[in-house]
Amino acid sequence: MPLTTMILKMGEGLGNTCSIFILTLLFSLPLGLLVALLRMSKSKIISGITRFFISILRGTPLMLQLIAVTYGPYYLFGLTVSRNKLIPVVIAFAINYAAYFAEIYRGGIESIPQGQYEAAKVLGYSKFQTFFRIILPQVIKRIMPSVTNEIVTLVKDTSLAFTVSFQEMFTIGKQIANSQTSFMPFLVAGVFYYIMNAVVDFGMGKVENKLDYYK
Amino acid sequence: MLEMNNIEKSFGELEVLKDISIRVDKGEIVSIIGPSGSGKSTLLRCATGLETADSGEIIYEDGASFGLVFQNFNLFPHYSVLQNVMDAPVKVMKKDKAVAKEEALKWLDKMGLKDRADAYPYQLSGGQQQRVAIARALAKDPDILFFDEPTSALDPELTGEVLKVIKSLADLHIAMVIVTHEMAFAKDISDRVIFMDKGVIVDQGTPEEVFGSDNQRTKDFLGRYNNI
Repeated sequence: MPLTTMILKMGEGLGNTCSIFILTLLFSLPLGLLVALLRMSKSKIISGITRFFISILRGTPLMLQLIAVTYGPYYLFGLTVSRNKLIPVVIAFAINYAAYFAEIYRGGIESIPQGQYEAAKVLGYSKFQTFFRIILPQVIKRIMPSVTNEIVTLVKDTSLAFTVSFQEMFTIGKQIANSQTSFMPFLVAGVFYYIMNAVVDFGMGKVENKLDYYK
Repeated sequence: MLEMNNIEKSFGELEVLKDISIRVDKGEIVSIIGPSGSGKSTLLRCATGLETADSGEIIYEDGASFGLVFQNFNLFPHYSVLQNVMDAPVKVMKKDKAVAKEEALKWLDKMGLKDRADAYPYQLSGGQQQRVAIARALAKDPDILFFDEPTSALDPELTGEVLKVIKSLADLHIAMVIVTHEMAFAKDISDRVIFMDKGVIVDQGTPEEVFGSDNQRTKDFLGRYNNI
């Protein structure tokens, strides 16, 4: 197979790769914040349960979670595996990444000095206003480097969707590699991931610069 | 205007406030002095709701409102000086933005910081930050303003500028309660001085009365400060 055909074929899978990437971020970033707040709940039961779920999600392979979410409904309830695997793939990714983001948010939130809460309270801000106007903007700035790290990892992790035969770029590359007995598709995949992460790095660098207006 | 009656507060075994009662009248300037750990700051924190007293009552008559200036300023680092001052009036008091901005600039002007309105807290000296914090508290139109050791986190050369602006507030007829270790300042500015030690009020009265007190504990404490 000529290299250009290979690149074009794998390129067709990039749409799906990007779908996993973008949808995962879209769901896991807010979900992670919610999980962080539950984890920090004053109720020992709520924080305990949340802690347990985070430990499961961080303590088992994402690959396993992908298989569980995609095929679990079939084995457990006899439901047919949906033809569009994007849904189970994004669910698995979003939940897994939410667990990691939750711990990043928690670290950020706990690093904000108590005095910020006290100043807001004395000035009459509601708890909601205090969190969203005063605390969260400072948290976001502080956690930016860790979040960038996770996002870079996510770009590469999208390749795990091959385990459930979701037709994203790496899955297609692997199929070509098998049928052509060629190593070339893996090299092409590597270049694709590298380019995508270069874009991510550039974008996140811009965001970090934008937040650099204060210390 | 503010009445605190029989306030008690303990942290675990430690009794920090033992049956404290104070009253602050409209426009009155009260200084609270005393050694570290005497309960002065805890008393302010109870008055401003940052701590809950174990017992006793706190009454703000006629819905009087308060502001608090912290030892460590606690400005919002992601807001400019102007935003720090006008955000609460707009978001909490629902003031019109243009009005809030005009008032904020007026307070900053009074603090000698009008030209720094667009700066961010990290760009300011400690003394300037504390003056912004005072403007922020004033922008909420408080009837009573509490100061919790407002100059303790400052280098000695910056203390003067902050004390000067606090003094300039005297003509606004806002009541002020100032916890301070600056004895000369307390003596100069106050209508009334309260000396606290080990969670009780040992002595109180006009500056002349307290600084000339016959009470042995007051005399011992003040004796540690020269040039009053």
